[in-house]
Amino acid sequence: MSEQWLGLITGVAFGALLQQGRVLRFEKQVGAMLLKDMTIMKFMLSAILVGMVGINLLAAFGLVKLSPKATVLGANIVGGILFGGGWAIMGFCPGTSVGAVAEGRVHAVFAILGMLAGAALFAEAYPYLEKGFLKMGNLGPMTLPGVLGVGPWPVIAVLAVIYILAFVFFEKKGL
Amino acid sequence: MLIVGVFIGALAASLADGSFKVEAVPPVWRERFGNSAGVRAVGAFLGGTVAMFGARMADGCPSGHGLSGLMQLSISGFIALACFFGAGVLVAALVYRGGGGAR
Repeated sequence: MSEQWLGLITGVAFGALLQQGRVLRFEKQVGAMLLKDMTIMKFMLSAILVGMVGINLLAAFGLVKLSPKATVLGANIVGGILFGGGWAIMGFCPGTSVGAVAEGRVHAVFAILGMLAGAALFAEAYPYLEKGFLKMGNLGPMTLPGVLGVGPWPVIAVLAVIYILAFVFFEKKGL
Repeated sequence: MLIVGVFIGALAASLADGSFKVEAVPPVWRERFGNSAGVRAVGAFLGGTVAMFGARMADGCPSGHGLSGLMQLSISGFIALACFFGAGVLVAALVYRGGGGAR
């Protein structure tokens, strides 16, 4: 099967599941940032929990090769803060905003147009940022097990406990 | 093609269970900024511009850094997600102050 078809089929499943998880909506995204409704956090936690075990198992059997993104302190932190601030006002996630339009939230169209403008602006700024700022604190690809000098499984076990405790906490608080 | 699929999947699922709803101004926004679709459109546009500039700089969004990064136990994922959410909580508290709850 060609990658195009695989992408389409994966996308349809992803879109349907995101919609059923109710995580596409402005209310849910801003609700999490207002610490009033942790639906998207629970959705992310369960995805991370399953994905973390699954992808590391696949890697252990040599079926996939992991490719963690480089840790670049300056860009990760400043970009992360800019994203977070914009996200609170936009109320959608880049990857899923198309799904928000599909379930009738027409204001997501303007968010998408804004994101295209933001990407274009970044492309314009790139030549100026490339040599200086974007290299600040570039540590290359780094993982938690790598830094701690242990294998992946002890880290996965500890994180799994933390994620499950977070889940239990949200449920107990009715978030 | 993945994005086309997300659109089709979300459309089909929302029509199937009746949760499809045409919405120009979400309730939380309305309580703070009023019912103007134009004001919401400008907010969505500007928020999107800043967010995408940041995501390109950070080299990922909550999917790329948050989901994919944390699954791979990547340090960049933990840093970026903490910044996304930390700044999001701060700005949301400032922007929607005075508005009602999200539920």
